[in-house]
Amino acid sequence: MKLKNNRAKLFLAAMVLVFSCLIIYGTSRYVQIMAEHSHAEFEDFREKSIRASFTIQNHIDKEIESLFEMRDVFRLKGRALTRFEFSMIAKSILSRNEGIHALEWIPRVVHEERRVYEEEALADGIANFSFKAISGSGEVTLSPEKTHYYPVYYIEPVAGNEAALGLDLASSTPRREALLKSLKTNRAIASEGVRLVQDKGEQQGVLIFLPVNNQNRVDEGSLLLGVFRIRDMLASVFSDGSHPDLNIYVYDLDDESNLYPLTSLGGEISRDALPTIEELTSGDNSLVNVSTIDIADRQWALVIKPVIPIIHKDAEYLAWLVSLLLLAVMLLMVMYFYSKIRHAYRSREAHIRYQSLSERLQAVLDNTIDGIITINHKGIIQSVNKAGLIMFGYSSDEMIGQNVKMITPEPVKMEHDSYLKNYLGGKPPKIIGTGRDVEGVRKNGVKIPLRLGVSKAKVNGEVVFIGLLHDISERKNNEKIKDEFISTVNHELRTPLTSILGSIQLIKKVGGDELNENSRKLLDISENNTHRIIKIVNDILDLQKINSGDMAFEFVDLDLVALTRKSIEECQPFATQHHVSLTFIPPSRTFNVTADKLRIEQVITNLLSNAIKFSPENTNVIVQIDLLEDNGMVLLSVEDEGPGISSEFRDKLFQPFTQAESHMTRKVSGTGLGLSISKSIIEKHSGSIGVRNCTPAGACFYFELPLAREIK
Amino acid sequence: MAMGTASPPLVTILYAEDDEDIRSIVEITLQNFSDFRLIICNGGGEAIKMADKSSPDMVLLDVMMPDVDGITVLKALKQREDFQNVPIVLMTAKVQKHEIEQFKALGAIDVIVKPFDPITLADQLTAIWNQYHTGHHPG
Repeated sequence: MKLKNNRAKLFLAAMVLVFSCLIIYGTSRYVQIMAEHSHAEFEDFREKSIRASFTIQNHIDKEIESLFEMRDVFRLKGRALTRFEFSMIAKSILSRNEGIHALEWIPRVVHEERRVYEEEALADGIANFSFKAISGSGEVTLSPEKTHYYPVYYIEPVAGNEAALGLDLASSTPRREALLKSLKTNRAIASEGVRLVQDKGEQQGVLIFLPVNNQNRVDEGSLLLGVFRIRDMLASVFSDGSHPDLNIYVYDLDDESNLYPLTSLGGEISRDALPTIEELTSGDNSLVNVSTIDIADRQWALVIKPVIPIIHKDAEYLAWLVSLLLLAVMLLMVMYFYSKIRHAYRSREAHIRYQSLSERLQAVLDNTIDGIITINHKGIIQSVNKAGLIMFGYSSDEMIGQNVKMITPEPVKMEHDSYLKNYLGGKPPKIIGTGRDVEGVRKNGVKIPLRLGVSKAKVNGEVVFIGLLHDISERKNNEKIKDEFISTVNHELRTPLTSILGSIQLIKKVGGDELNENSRKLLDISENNTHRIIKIVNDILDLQKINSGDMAFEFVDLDLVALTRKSIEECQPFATQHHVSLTFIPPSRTFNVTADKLRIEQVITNLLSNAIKFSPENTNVIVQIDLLEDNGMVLLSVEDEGPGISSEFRDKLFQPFTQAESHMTRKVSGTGLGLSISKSIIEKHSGSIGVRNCTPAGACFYFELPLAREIK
Repeated sequence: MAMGTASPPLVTILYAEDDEDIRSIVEITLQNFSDFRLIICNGGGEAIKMADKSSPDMVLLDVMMPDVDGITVLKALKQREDFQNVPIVLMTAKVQKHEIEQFKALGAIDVIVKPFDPITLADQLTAIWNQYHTGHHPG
C-alpha cells in the first residue's frame, strides 16, 4: 500500500511540475508577444505622431506663408490696396488655404483720421461701419476716443465676419500684445487663443499678425492679420478632419494662464473633460507623444495619444498576476486532491485496521469455548457469540433482541428481573461478579448446568451486563459419577460392616454364658474395632462431602450456649470414664449464631472428646464462650491440662489422619479425621478454627463464628 | 426369649435385602428377640411378587438393591390399594438428613441406618409399629 501512495505522490508532483512549467511558459510567451506587439504598436504610434506633427507644422507654415504672400503684394503695389483689390487677392489665397478663416488688413489710424476712415468704409458699402472696441466684459461697443487705433479695415470673407469690421484690435489685450510685438519685431506673431468676435461658436481662434512695414508710406504701421479657427486649421490638415488613429490635443505653451487645450482633434472627450497637459502626460496606461510646433513665434504643444490605447507594462503585470493566480489555483487543487487521496488512503488504512481488529475480536469471541452473552439494563440480549448460540441451540436472530429469560428455566425466570433491579438499584448484587452454578434451558427444552460469571461494563454510556457461561455438564456428570462412586463405596463398606457388627453383637448376646472370658474379650476387641472402622467410614464420607461442597448445611439462628451445654452433658459419661471433669464458662449475654445445629454440635463434641482423651486423670477441661463484639464474632474455646501441642504439629493438626504424638502411654482412639472435619465445618460457617498452647500447660482449641445479624 | 417391649403377635414383615449375610443377621435377631414373622425376599423384584401373594402387616426394605431397588418397591407398593395402610420401613447406608427426609417424603414411615444394632432392631421395629397404630405417624 505504501508503494501506491508514493506512486500517487510522484504522479501528483509530476503533474504539478508539468502544469507549472506550462503556465509559466505560456505566460512568458504571452507577455513576450504582447510586448513585441505593443512595441510595434508604440513604434507605429510614434511614427504616426511625428508624421502628424510634421504635417501640421507644414500646414501651418504654409498658411502663414500666405500672409507673407499678401504682404508682398502690398509692398509691390507701392500704394495702399483698395478694398476690392484686397478682397480679390485674399479670396485667391483663401481658396488655396482652407485653414485660414479670414484675412484682414489692419491700418494704424490716428484719431484725427478716424472720421475719414469711417466715412470711407461706409462709402465702400460697409453698412454701419464704425470703430469698435472690446470692453473689459468682452462686449463689443463703440470704440472710445484714443490717440490711435488699429481697426480691422479690410476683411475677407466679409460674410459672417461683419462683426469684426472696425474692431480696434488694440482694445483687446491679447490682440494688442501680439500686434505690438509683431510691429516691434517685424515678424509674424501669433496671439494666444482668443474668442473671435465674429464667432458664436465654441472654437478658439488664433490671430497671426504680420506688419506690412512699408517705410515712408501711408500704410506704414499697418498689419496683415490671418484669423484662424484653431480647430478648423488643424482639421484641414487631415482629410476626414482628424487623424484616424490619433487624438491630438493642442496646448499653447506660451500662455501660462491657460492650461487647457486650445482644441482637440479626435477622441470622444466631452468639452467638460478637457485635460491639461499634466493630466494627459502624467502616467496612465496609454502612451503619449508630445511634440512642439512653432506657430508664428508661439510654441504650441501637440499632445498626441493613440485612439486605441496601447497595451502597456501594466498589462504585462496583469499577465503575470493571472499566471500567478493560475499557479495558486493549481496548487490549491493539487493540495485538495492530495489531501483527499491521503484521507482516502488513511481512512482505508484505518478501515483495514479496524476490520482486522474487528475480525480478530470476532474470531476470539467466536472461538471461545464458553458462551458470552451481553444484555442491557432491561435484560434484552444484545449479543451472543458462537459458543453461546451452540450452547442454547438458537440462531442469532432468535436470541438478539429477546429477553435473556428465554434461556433461564422456570423458577429462575421470574427472579431475573429482580436480580437486575437489585443491581441497578445499587443493592448488593446477588449474582453479579460471583461465579455460580446455574441452570440454562436450551431451545429443545433440555436444561443444561452452567457456571455463570457476570460483570458489568459501560458501552457508549449505557450499562451492559456481560455473562460468561461455562458448560459444566461434564463437571456435573463427573460429580454425579463421583457421588455415585462414593455412594457405592459407602454402601459397599457399610454392608459388610453391618454383617460383622451384627454378627459379633448377636454372638455376644445369644452366646452369652457359653462364652469364656477370652472369647468375650476377643469379641469385644472385634466389636470395638468394627465401630472404629464404621466411624472412619462416616468421617471420610463427611469430609468428602464437606470439601466437595455437597454437604447440605441447614443454617438457622442458634443459641450456641444451649447447644454447648447439651454437648457437655452428652460427653459427661465419656469424661467420667476418663476421670476428667468438665467446666463451662458462659458469656456475659445471650446471643445467636447462624449455624447448622447438627454440625456445630459435631464440632463441639469433637473438641471436647479430644480434650478428654488427652487430659490426664483428675484434671479439668474448661469450655468457655466469649463475645468479640468489635469483630461481630463469638469465640468458643476448649482448654485441657494435657501435654499440649508441639509447634511442629500445630499446622498439620487439622489435616486428615494427623494425630499429635502423645506422651501418654494410653492409646488415644480416634480416626484422625475429626479436626479436619471440624475445620471444614467451621470454615463453611465463615468462621475460623485453631489451637494454641495455654498457660501453664495444655492445649487450647478454639473456633470463632460470626454472630447472627440482629434484625433491627 | 424376647427382650424389651413385647412385639405384637403374629405381625408379618415383608423383608427385602440382597445381602445374604445381613439377611441372616436380621433373621437371627428377630427370631431371637421378637415375635415378628418374616417373609424374606432377596431382592426388590421378589418383594413385589411376594406382595401379590401375601398380605404382610409391615414392610422392611433395603434401599440399595441391584435390579429393583428399595425406592422402586416403595413407590410400587404405595400405589397398591392393599398397601395403603401398611407401614414401610427403609434400611439404608445413606445417612444424611436430607436423604432421610427424601425417603420419608416418598412414603417411608421410618429409616433404619446401617450399620444397625441388631440387638435393638426388634425394639425399633416394635416402636415403629406401635407408633403407626396409635395414629401418630413418625416423621
